[in-house]
Amino acid sequence: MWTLFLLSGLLTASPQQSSSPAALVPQLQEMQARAVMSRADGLEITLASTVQLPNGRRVGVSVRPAAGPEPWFVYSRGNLCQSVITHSPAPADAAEGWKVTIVERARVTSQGATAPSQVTIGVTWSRMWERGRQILNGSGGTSELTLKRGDQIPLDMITRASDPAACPGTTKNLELQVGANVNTAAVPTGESPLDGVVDAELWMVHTAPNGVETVEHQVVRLMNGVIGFSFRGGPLDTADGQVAIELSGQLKAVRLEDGSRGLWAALTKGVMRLSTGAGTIASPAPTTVGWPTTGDVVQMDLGPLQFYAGRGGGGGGGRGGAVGSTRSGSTATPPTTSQSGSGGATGGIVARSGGAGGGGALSAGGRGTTLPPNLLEGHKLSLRVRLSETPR
Amino acid sequence: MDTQFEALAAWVDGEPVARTEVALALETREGREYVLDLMAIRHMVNVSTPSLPVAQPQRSVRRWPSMTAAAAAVVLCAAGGFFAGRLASPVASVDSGDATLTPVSTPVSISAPAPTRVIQLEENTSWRESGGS
Repeated sequence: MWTLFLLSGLLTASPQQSSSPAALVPQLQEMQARAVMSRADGLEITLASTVQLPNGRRVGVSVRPAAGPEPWFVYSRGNLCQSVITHSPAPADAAEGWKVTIVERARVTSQGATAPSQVTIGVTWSRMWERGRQILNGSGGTSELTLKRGDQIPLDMITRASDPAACPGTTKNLELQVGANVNTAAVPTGESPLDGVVDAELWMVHTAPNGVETVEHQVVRLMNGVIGFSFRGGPLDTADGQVAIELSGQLKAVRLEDGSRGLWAALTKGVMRLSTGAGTIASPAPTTVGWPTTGDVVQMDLGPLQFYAGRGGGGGGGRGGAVGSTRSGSTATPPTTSQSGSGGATGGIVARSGGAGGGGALSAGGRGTTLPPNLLEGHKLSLRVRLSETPR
Repeated sequence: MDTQFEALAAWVDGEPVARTEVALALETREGREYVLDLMAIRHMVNVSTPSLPVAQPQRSVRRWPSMTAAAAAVVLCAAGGFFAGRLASPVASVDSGDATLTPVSTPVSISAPAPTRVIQLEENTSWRESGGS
């Protein structure tokens, strides 16, 4: 029977979401205020859903702050790479997904500390859709968790057969993250409530020095508020080991000074060392562009990529010196994540510590020290965005 | 890879195993094929090995059609899984000659539409270390 599950195909197009009511401005401002407060102590809760693709690649969608009384619907429509996170009403176009409610109970400050170091939450989740059908009595759970910054809590996973033509993903995960916000840009307060369904097609485009583009693709649905997304490309061999290019960001519909609608984007690029899971990131200043019209494809250039031998969050390096050599043909090895079991989750939930570390800026300073050669010299990264709107 | 196979075997056997390990293992074609092989083997073992303590009811004759159907389903699924795995597997890498680094393998080709607007983001921050995502 498990084999049958593995081989079951994904259901195709479903009706569009029936409605997406505009949220009230005061509620949005409250959410933003909560986000600012959470960012200060790094205990902000992110609700994320990632799709694993072959060869270690990954796409995902996320929302933060996720704690609040109103439930979230996290689902795929059409295929696993079309992701939506939204509040009520319950969607009509869900193929696979969950209903999740996260309520923050308290923040715990250790003795002698000035800022809280742990957050206690209650999370209730249930699987609501499978293969395009709403299910009753789906798997789920309720847990009270005490978490610290960097914790990642997998809640559930849906496994489906790959559909190479539409989305090669095989698994879709639902997880909580604490303090996972790598881009600390302040979200603008000016809201432009969406009165219809707006889907954003996103392409991460990695351009090699020879001009060859490697593209990852996903579709996320904009919401009233901020929607997050993430990409991880396939493994690249460098003279200092395998790395993966990452691109994450946040999108929001905002009101421009002239009253028109704009698209705000805060993006972060990264290079992750696959052997350690650590890497380097950079966040260009956020930008706001005029609202893309139908057929408009906006490319946001994030500039050059950098990766230096021996760098990458500690634990990596030590194999420098072979700059410029070509290596290929090795087998991709997905990054491994250590599990420490913190968090006190129940019902099959496993807490993973670490991951969202920080660090000092990389610079070549002091006594004539120079950075080693950039192993990604000439590589560029960009995001392309195309919107499609369906009126209510 | 052995670790991944162990995780898959534990999963198939219904033993406790981290979801993430299973997910990672299922990303590979070898992993998926391994699961299908495991299921087929286990089914054959179950068919050929009598249940030890459980007394069989009198309706064993009526079970043959369902067992046959189940075996056929497993064979069909295994074959389907094999071809699905072949379709899902990434294309082997191509040596790019003078490139200083190459993708380990090239996924199913995805192309992006040509941009109609290009925005150059201002890079006002330096690179910093991160624990990854």
